[in-house]
Amino acid sequence: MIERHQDYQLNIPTLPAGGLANVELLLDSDAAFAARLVKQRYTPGAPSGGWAYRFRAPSGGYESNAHRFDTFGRGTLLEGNPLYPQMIYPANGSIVVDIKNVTGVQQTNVKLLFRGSKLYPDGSMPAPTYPAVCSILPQVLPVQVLNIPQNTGAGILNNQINAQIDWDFALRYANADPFSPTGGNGTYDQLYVQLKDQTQKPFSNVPIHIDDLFGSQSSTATGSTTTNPFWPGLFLPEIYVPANGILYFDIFRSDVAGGNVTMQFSFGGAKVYRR
Amino acid sequence: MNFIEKALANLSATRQRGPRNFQAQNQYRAQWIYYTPPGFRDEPFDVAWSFTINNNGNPYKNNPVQLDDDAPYIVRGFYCPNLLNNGSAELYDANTPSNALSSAITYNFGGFGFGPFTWPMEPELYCNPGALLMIDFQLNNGGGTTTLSGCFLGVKRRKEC
Repeated sequence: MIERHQDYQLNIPTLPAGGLANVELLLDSDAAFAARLVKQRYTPGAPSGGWAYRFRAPSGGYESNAHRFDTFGRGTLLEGNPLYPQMIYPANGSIVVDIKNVTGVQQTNVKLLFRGSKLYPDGSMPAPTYPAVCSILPQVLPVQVLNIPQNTGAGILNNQINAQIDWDFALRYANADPFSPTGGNGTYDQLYVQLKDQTQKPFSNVPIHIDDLFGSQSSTATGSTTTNPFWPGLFLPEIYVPANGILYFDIFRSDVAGGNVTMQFSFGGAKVYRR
Repeated sequence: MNFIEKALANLSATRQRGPRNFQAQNQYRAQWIYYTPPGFRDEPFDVAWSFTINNNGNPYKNNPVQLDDDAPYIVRGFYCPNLLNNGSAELYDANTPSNALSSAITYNFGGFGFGPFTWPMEPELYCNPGALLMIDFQLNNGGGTTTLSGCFLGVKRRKEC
């Protein structure tokens, strides 16, 4: 079995006052999906808990007896709700979700994120990994993206994360912070990133909000209406990039305020020297 | 061997065994398990440091953190709370020549040791007795100076008597 990190996000541009039922999140046709975490992204400006959800397991039954928030039971507001044991959905399948609007008024930009792994049969795709003999060191690859404008339209595409000629890179975590060395940085609210491998195959079905995909080094909000997670975003399993390999990421921003933002992305993990 | 030495030896022996099927070279081991070679005992030891750096946008390279020369030191954690929103840094291991732990100078160490948490150094860094750990800093150009303090957390690896 080959595992590959994967995020599936359900985007609901407009949530009616009465909520929605049987919304299908379509899964890719190339692999089954093992869901291990579900996480709400609250509507900017709306009070926490503005909407609740429930979804169907692969068997067709619901995962909960009623609509729920992340904070019910095992989950927390910032970390989402872990699914254990994992729930494996077939390739080309769908996750059927019901959304309940508890505010009584229409909401916009509602998002529900499922994190987990795609599951491929052995030999069906390249899966580089550690050599038999190697030396490993902690490593961070920083990428600074200057002056991201408020509305990027088609996005700032194909920003690169490079492994070097003499070592492989195992990506295990990442964080992102707005910081300009010269001061006067703006703030973001709607900033999304889609991570892709060397063949431009993405690790998510749509761009994911950076507060969900990455962590932040700041303990408080940096423009987002929710407090950023105070720890890095994790990739499970880790993403292994062979020497000379590249990861790409696309940036999309749809803010109407906040000014230009300079973002400091840090991709961390280990560098692996072959011996 | 007195009582304390026996207790320490037993503790060390327990750690050496680890869980069933544990292999030290397994990259997917749990972070809490580290391999202590037979004949050695790991002793918790932290290395605190402090540097005063100008806030002028210039890089200040090779700020040294001197390690003791009585035993090898193994870094397993790092803490530096006050670089956040202040600038960038780059950390090096204690090899000669040293290996940078980031590909370039990185905002707030790329996350190492930010906030109230200690950052796990994974995998651990082995440092010879008396080695130097180097840090580069580059703070924003807000003027004045900033005193940056932090700490390496880890163990000294002592031989069993």
